Amino acid sequence: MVSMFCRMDSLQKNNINAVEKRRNRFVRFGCHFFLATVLFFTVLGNVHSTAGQEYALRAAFVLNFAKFTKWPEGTLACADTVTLCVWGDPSLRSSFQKIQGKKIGDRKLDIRFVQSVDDMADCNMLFVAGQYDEPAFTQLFNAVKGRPILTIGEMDRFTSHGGVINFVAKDGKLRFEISPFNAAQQGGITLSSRLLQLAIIVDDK
Amino acid sequence: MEFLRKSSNYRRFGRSIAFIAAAVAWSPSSVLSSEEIDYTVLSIEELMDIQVTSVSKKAQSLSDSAAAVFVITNKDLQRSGVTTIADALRMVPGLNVATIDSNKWAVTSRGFNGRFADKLLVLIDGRQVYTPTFSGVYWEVQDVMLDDVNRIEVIRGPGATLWGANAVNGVINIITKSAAQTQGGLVNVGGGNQERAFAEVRYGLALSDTSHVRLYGKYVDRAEYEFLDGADAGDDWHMMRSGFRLDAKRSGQDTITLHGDFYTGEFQQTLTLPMVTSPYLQIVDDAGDVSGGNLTAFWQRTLSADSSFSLQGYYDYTRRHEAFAKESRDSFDLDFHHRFAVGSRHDIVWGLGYHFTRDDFTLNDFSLNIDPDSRSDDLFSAFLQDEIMLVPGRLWLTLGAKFKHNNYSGYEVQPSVRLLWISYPDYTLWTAVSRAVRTPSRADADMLVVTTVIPPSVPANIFPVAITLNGNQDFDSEEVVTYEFGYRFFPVPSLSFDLVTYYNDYDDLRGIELDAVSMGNLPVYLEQPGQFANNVSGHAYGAELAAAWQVTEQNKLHLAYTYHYSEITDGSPRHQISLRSESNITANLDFDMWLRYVDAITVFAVDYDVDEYATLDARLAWRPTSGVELSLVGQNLFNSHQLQYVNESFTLPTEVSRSVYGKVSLTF
Repeated sequence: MVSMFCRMDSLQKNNINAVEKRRNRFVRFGCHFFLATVLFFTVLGNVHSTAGQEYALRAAFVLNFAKFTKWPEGTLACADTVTLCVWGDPSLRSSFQKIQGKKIGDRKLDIRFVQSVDDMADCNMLFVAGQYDEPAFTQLFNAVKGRPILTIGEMDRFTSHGGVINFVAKDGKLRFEISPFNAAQQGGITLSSRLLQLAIIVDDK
Repeated sequence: MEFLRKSSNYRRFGRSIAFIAAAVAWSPSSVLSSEEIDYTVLSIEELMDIQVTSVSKKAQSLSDSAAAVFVITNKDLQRSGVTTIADALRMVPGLNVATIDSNKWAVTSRGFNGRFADKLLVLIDGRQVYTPTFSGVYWEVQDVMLDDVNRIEVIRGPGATLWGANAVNGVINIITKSAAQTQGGLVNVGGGNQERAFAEVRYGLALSDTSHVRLYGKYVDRAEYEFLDGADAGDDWHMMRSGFRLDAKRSGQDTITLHGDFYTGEFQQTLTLPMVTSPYLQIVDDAGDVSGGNLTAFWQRTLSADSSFSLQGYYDYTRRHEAFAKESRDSFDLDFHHRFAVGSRHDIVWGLGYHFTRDDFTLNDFSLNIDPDSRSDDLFSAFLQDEIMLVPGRLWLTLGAKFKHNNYSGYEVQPSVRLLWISYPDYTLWTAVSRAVRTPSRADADMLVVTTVIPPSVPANIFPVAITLNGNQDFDSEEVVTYEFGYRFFPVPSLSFDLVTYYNDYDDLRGIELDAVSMGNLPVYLEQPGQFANNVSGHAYGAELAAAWQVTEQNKLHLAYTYHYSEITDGSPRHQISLRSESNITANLDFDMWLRYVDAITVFAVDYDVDEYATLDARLAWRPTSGVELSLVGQNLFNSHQLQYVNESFTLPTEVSRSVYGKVSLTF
């Protein structure tokens, strides 16, 4: 793709004067420089992006939420896994892949990236990444209503729409709101008191 | 691509791709490095103590929409090093941005480019900023604090159903952050050879837990470019602006936003104005003055989980004083939107709008006239849209129509039908058919322009001939029916593609009908009058590709490719490529580059061919300590001078100069 840029000047008229020749050299140098630099950073690997980092942080929180949640007997499809469904931008995947297979007591966390409400049959937790307009998340909430699924989000009024845990930024740090009322609506999941102590309790009946 | 086949570098191109592929295969992107914190080993209390930089949220509902949408994020703005909104739009597939001179741009979506491009709707926080004078945008006066922009949403194609007038080939929606997201202080200062000097200051504070305010001020001073012969183009300019935004939430149900801006500036330009006596063209060194302001109030109430309404009102004024014209305009706008669900399958939005605008012209030159001098117009509109979920979680049908009444062409109906299929795991398909109109502008109806004066040539023609272009009171709306098809897919988590193809069928486009030569002004000159008429039709089609690739955690590439073909000569390039690379050398050091290729164009109005060009921007930014960023940006680096476009009237071809500037940013 890069070379397409490099050759464009050579297409121009035959009577290239000295100035244009110099310019062509400059263009070619620029293109090679671009290519070389992209390759350099492609190969070099030591720091990662801040957006990735923020979602890695959220993923770590979500892992902790799983540790402090109890699902009613028999609702975990496989006795040895907790399934976390992630709804959102595919770019978040690498952040959540880091908690794949992590231990939650004697169970393992299994991450699934979903894009349709039909794929949420086995979810025990649902993380809704990003902001959605109401129609989109009304659908989502209708799909999980009353089922033993811990819903986690990061948008305005997440809890007023029925969500259980919502990330909020406060003073440059990540906090989370919990709606105990909504938690009680989700088919018998219970949150530990330690989690409730750390949360900002919201009551949106 | 034609130019590829002819290329002697084709083999080299193949080698490059192979090289990149090999490098990527080798790169240890999934391996954790020593500098990366493994949050998963931390307790929840420890996690709560970690500082997060920003909480940026993407408007994801848009990327699931059945339309050609592209979002420029705040990060894209920062990392591209752009200093104007117009320049930022160069990263969007389907758009064509060309610099005319230091203070003028030509920006369009899907063809018909020009300084007076008239098929695009541009909004800043819900306030329309195109001028009804010619249905286009004076880009030099549209500016905001780029740091405070949340995102710029660009919707190509007819956006008429939800947005309204002028949204024939696209809608650009510039959305600033809420005051709560811009707390604290920010200072940017810098300068360079073209960006001679700039300073921006913003401060945001909390008035209470639920209400926040920010204030900002900004000054920019930009240097002149050069004419083709290397002479100074006399187009330097400076602009000052300030404003505020207040956001308040009440009882968890109401959101209230109040914001306003004020600007004033002076721009130099070298005008070429026709005259009927020798030398038939006068060159005027003009110092133009612009100023303007606006005040917007917005109220949104959430009624229930799936129902809300909003009401917005704004007042906007603009003043513009150039050698040939003095123009002032006052506008008032009121909009109501209501969204609610019916059953579990219907999501309905409807709205009402009223727009009032009044202009006043004082014309100082033979070359331009308008009749009447002052005019007031009302525009009423209503729209209704129903998004129907046909198959739960999979298939949606959206039916919508906008109805409006304006003083020029009367009633207009703009319907659209859209179908969206979202499929697990990783792709989205959509298709749409829509009709949109571009209602007549004030210029279409009432303007009288002398485009050129042909000097006398003895013996064939003993008098000078003035070619004039006259507005037409009966000019009707231009119309387009657009067929679109879109496909988004994510083959692997780090790679995304968004492909859109379209076919536009135009009718009643503006052309010119020549009238009989008038002798009314003899013995001074003959007049060859022409009149605007709806006498052009034709079709255009094209393809737009946006791809993003997170190559490693340190490097991300953004590609935009645009193909556009039109039967009608429309001043837009056939091929365009934008390739951006964002690299984090370390956590505190960014290195970004932006390569662009733009195909040759013909500016029809002046019959001028502009060559294809490629250019490069680069940015290096270093954060020595928290709250301080030093950056160095180079723009248009390949060519010391590059012609990108030629103005349709009044100014001479001007080349964009290579630009380098440095910037210091402080946050506190």
